[in-house]
Amino acid sequence: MHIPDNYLSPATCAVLGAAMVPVWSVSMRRVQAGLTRSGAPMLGIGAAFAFLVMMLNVPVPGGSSAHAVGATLIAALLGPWAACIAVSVALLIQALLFGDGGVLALGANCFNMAFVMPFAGYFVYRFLGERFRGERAGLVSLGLGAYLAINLAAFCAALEFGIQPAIARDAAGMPLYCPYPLALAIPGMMLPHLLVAGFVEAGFTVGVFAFIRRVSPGSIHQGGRTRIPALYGILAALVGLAPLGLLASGRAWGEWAPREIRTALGAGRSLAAVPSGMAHGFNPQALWADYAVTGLPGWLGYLWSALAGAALLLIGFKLLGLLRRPGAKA
Amino acid sequence: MDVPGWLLKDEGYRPRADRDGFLDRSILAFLALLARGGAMSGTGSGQGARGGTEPLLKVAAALLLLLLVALSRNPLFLALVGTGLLVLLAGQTGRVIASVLVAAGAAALFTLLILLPALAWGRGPAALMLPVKAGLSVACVRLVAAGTGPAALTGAFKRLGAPDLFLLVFDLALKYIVLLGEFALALLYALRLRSVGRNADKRGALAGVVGSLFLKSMEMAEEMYDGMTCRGFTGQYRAAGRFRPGLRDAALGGAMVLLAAAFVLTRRA
Repeated sequence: MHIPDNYLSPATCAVLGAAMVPVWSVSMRRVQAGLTRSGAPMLGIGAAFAFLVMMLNVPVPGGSSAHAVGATLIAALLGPWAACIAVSVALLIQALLFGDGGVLALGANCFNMAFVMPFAGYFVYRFLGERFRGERAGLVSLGLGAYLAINLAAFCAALEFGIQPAIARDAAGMPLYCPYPLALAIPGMMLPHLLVAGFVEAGFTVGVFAFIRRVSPGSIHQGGRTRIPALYGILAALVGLAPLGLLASGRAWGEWAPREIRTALGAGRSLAAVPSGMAHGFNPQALWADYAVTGLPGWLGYLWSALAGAALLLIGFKLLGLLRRPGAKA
Repeated sequence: MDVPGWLLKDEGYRPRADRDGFLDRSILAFLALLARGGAMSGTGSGQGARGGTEPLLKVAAALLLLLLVALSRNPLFLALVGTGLLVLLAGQTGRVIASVLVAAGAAALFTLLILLPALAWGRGPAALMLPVKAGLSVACVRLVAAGTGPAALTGAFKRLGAPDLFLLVFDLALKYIVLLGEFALALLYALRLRSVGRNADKRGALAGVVGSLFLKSMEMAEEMYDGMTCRGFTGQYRAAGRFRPGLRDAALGGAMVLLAAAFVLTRRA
């Protein structure tokens, strides 16, 4: 997930780097305010730990191996603010001394792996962990947090890649940086993460966390109650990003409607016929087909759909919490 | 003395082969890291004893070059940058030259592979410039890293106005990557040696390796804090010495101006 230089336009790198400045500043302040006896050295050694974790090869089903990122694990062990600093410094060292990940793209890499990933993973872990008590539920929450976090980070990277053809072109209309539009970048990044990397990350995070909790439970960061407003803030930011979907031209791979599949091959080629199972199968009509609302501009329809989807998800989680703890406030 | 019969029997134990690829790859990665250990944890080169170039200027020049390479749309400018980097590379030792060329070549090749579908899709010359740019960028970063020690980099960040907590974290991380890396390598060797035959719980053992690494890092942090307290280090950094520009600094400054001028001229062309 380390984005090298020249895959993103300098403008994208600058925007994401600028977005990281307040995050680093607040993280520094939060960490300094809550420093324990060995807090400052712990941050440095935590960064070294983050660097080494990213170097480890984790076995993947089928005999191969992959690198874990470990940002959710570090957030669960040190707290999300300390994890943000530790992973950022690890990424800086990788970029400056090892050429792993771009120097100009450092802000983008930190945004994905030192901000989105540890915070998303930690909040999901704490949010679910507080609603479903018990040791096993805690581990499941952490695993789910790690899985969602790496996929969210991959999604952010896919967005960053995918918007390049739309924002940086030469005089002939050719893309100057990553040439793959959202419709290709999103499945290209998400499929390996949803199917393999997410499970590897979740298994690795849960395995290491369970070991440390068994051997030395006092070493683990004791966070306060999850600040729900912060979680709502992240959700609101994601909802706000929803209209980016309008930048995608054409359909995502594999999401063709029956009437579109004949021409899906592109380059003037077409299928001889629509498969009969698709042509005559069950075709439910969604409430908001294609996230569009009749009479409203496209971006507003996207925002509306994202808002409704996020609200439904929150309601679902709160109802689940109510089932789990009858009588408790959800 | 009678030797018991069971002791004379051939056991015929043939351990079943197991998949250790991930362990071997981790061990190799850590060995490669520790091979660079001296450069990582030492004071490295900088301005002073060897009269090298001011690290801040080097970092600034590298950033300018990376930015101009990313912005450039002219192959002539890229060829100019490539020639300049080759000239700088020619002054390095054989080992540095090999490591820079291998890293730059790998980056260019990887980018080319990623872009193959786009090229087949008719995204032509603009996409073809990306592998060249990726190779040049990696070569530039590797060249700066080879000639700038960690202490010099910390000094450059201090002069750039980075907060002391960041400098402390950066400095400690560099030193402890080597110390913790040695510890992790010993744990990986132990796991490798104890995994005779098929070890069904190797994944669980890997979690133990990382968990032990974390606990060791906590212990080291406590010791580090005690050491800092004993020596009166409060976490505040002072940049040693002032920047006195030398001949090399002037040459690098001139090269930066020429680079910017070449970028503007080739952009107009």
